[in-house]
Amino acid sequence: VIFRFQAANSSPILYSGSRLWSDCVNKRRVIIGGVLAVAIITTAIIVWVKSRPNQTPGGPSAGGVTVVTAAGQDPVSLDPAKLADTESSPFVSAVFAPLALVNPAGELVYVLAESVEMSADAMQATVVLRANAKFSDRSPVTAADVRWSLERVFRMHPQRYVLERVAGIKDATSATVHAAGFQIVNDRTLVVRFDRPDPEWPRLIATTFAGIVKSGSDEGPKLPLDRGLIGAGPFKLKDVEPGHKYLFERNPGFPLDHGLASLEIRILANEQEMARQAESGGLNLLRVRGNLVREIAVRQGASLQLRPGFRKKRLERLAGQDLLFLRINWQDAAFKDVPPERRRAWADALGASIDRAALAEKLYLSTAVPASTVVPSSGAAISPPAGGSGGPITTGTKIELVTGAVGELRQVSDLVASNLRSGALTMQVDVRLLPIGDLIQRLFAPNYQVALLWLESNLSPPGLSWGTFFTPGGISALAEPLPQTPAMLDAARSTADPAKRQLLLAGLLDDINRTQTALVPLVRREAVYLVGDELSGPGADFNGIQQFSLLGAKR
Amino acid sequence: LSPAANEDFAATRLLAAILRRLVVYALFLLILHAALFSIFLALPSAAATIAGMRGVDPEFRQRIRHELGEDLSWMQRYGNHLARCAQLDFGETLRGSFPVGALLKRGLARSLPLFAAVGVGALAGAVTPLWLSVPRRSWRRWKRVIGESFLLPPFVLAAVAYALFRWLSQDMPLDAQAPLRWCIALLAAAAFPFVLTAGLATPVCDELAASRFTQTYRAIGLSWPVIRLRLLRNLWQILLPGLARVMLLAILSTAFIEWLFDINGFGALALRAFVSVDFNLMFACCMVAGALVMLFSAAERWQAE
Repeated sequence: VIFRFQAANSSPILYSGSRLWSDCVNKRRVIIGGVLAVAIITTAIIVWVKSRPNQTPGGPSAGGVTVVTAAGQDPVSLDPAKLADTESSPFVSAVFAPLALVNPAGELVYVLAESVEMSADAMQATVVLRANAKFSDRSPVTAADVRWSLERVFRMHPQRYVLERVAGIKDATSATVHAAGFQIVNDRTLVVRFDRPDPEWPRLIATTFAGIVKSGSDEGPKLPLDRGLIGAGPFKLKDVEPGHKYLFERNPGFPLDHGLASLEIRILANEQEMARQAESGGLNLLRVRGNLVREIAVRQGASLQLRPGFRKKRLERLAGQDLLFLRINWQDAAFKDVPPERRRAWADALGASIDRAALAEKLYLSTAVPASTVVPSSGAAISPPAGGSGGPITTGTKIELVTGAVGELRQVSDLVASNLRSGALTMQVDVRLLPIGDLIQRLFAPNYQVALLWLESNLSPPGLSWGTFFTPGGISALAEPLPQTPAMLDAARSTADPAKRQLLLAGLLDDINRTQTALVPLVRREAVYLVGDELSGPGADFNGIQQFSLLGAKR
Repeated sequence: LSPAANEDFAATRLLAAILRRLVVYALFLLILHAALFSIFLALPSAAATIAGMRGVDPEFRQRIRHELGEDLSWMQRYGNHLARCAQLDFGETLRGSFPVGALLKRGLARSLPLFAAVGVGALAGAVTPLWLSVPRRSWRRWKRVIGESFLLPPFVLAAVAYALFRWLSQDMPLDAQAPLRWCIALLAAAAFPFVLTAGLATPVCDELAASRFTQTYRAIGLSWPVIRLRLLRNLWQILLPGLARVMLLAILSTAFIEWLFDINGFGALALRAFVSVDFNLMFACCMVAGALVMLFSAAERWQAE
């Protein structure tokens, strides 16, 4: 391109494009002008963005309320019989519903069952299913499905003890061989006979892993998340983006009228991002754990107040069944020479060095309370077995404290280590934060000295569930197997008279608190939920665990 | 040799060189596979982790070990694993049992815009100092700023970008934030390679600007833009060997950006694999990263040869 310039009364001057740029244009002015233009445009965009009105998604739509919540990671599986971790629990509870659940008030709420009646001698239960309970493929939930699901739980789930008293359950080794104790009366009625009294059975199976699955739906090809299994929960899995989000649509066959249209669970490993999305209205339901409490609320006297940014939301606090504790590994070389009669005294001394009140107040903003006993106490005075402190563990002992590199545990472990270093024992403490998988490996090996752990009970009723942590085998590696607990647990479980059963359970709990030596209780944490105003509640059970079957829209 | 024979000889040598290079790369991948397999075999296995989470019941543990093929001998497992990897089947994830290959494919596709931004940033970082260096005396102050800015670590740039995003989006509905999120993430992804390559290119450009052929270009009447274009070719030749490493570093920084901006790409996938100790996913991510290293080193090697 040639540019031609000609002034009046003069000959023309020809320029090529590049000569024009290099000889005639003030480049500095062009660049300064360009920068100014970019700055003006950027400012205009910012002003436009900031002046846009705020909108809140997740509100009521034509088909009901959309629930948007967040989880820290993907579920292991949606199969209730494979449920082992509390992270997977909300996903499973969205798709599968059990016969009943226990609400935060401790009452049995029937979900798929219309009733579960126990006989007076607690040797038989009659389950009547709701007539309108249907799976997500529109087929009705039948007694055969309930039998198939419960037998499957017994075959596959480690907490099979909830079904161990059903007559002949051990013979149900495959899907075609059934326990003699299950008798199908008609499509809606199942009679369950026990070989020993089991009065708490309806509450024992009122849990997520006892969710009802359509019989035979596990026979297809194996799919990710075991999503081929058909449930009768409030939602049906619609779409998955692993590591990002899970979309669920309403199951029209769910028998309870919850008024919810759909569910979205976002995977957000970053707690800050969780708080940010909740603040900007992106989430209308969120379990607030540990450090997240500080992000969304401030302490005002005895109560917690939401920060101003969290509009149209409220905080709901449930007691939960949770314990943060230290686990001492007496088998470790550093401790194995401590005589058993001195262990409890030493564990108590360890606990006394830790400022539990400061832990509850500073780290949890009062959403936790100091714990003086390992399991909930009946109120009776605890007198631990006699035995002095001292022995091989003395002041200045060096220990390694292991814990999971998750949530607020790094702050808790720092505070505990600081207390132990400066307390009466003046211990030398090395803190090691481990990925959860490694922590589990070391717990079960066992290869640790002291571990900072937490228990989130996902069972009911609480007396029996706490007892299982102190029964040899299974998950007792997290707590401590006590030799007398199985017999006491068995006696309490078998007693048909409610008052006497409560007395035996209280005795069991007191015995655990009195005799255990390996656990140092720190705090009991509440289950705290951030709930949108369009929802009636957090939809949690009495353990504080998310149960979408209990969630509903505000009427 | 006759010209025809000479051509044949050259073609044969070229073919041999390509084949030799392919064999070296195949060997590299085999060694990488064997090393990763050994490391992951020595670590506490995924099966044991799952079994641990479900209690210590030996029956459960045995069944899961069988499902994952961990009850076979070491050699059998290695052979099976190698055969599956050759078919790009990296197994399933620990959480959710998703096919790792499909996840990788989706993650890489989602990261493509960020990788492109990295490329654009690196190219702009190479070109900018040249534009500022030639003519030699212009923009000296800016050159110094850009030349020293490569000392900024990528996470500082990403953190600044994230703070900007938070500030801009605090009153926006979440769905409306997606375009803004992507724009700022792309800018952040481009910023790091930009400052890195600009830092590397600045002294080279100064030398080029002072070189005799630049003066010759000027003397024969070439305009500055034309001179810059010619110098860019020289600059490219000089920077190419180092560019592969720059790109790899920059790609690593995209993992951080993906995590920060909640973008579900390859980097976020790799981070998740390591955080959740997902062995199959970790293995696959390492293999992809190894293949990328090989790809960049191939380009570098090719240029050298």
